[in-house]
Amino acid sequence: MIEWIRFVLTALFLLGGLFILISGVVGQYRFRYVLNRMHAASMGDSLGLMLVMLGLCISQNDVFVILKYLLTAAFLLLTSPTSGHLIARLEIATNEHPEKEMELMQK
Amino acid sequence: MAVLFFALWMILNGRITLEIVLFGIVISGLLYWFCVKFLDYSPRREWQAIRLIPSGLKYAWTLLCEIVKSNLAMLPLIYSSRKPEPKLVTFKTPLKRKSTRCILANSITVTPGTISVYLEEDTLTVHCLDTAMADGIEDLEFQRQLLKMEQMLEEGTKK
Repeated sequence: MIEWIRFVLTALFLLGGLFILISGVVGQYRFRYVLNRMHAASMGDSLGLMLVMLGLCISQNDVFVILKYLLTAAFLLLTSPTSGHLIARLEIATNEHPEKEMELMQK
Repeated sequence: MAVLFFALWMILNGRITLEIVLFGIVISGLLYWFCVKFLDYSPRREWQAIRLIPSGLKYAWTLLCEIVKSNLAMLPLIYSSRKPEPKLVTFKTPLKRKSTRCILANSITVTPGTISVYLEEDTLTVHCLDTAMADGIEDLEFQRQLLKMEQMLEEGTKK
């Protein structure tokens, strides 16, 4: 019985994560500008991977394997914003007319 | 910090035997010595960090909730035919420390829908995919919690 519940939960989390990842890919092709596309890409990085990792955690018995999965998720959460930030910075720094693509605001 | 090194060693090994535990203690001790000597760590600063753990966990929880919320907000944008209205918002943060500002910028980037582009002194430039996401940007829940943590740190250094 417990095995079944665990299987269903794992499948649900994995499918949810997969759906988010696919939405990220779809978003990349729907948006037309680099920075807009990056938003779609960061979806897969954050929630998609977290859901997949959660599903894998539920499917495992070994505590150490679960901890390794959590470690992977934590490192991804730490590293993905850094690289995203660099890409965004490069785009804004090299774009001569950013006002064509977005509205500039000062608060 | 030495405890953290030891935990990492144990996780990566995946088994508990006497040999592994002894090696782990020796190696994490050596690494900690290296950090104190060359990387500017000190036990006093670590006590301050340990006192911040409860608020740090609370912060991580808010971050997770925000990630889930903003992901769900992104889905309709992707699957509807409406064009997004991107915005580049520049605002000042009241945070004083470099580390907390950096945490704020990274939290903003990791939630989908907002990317921090520049962080110079106290001015943050954030790219938002849609107008609704840009509305409350200068007064985020993150920022309030980080301000509290900063105050705690400053009280710690006064004593």
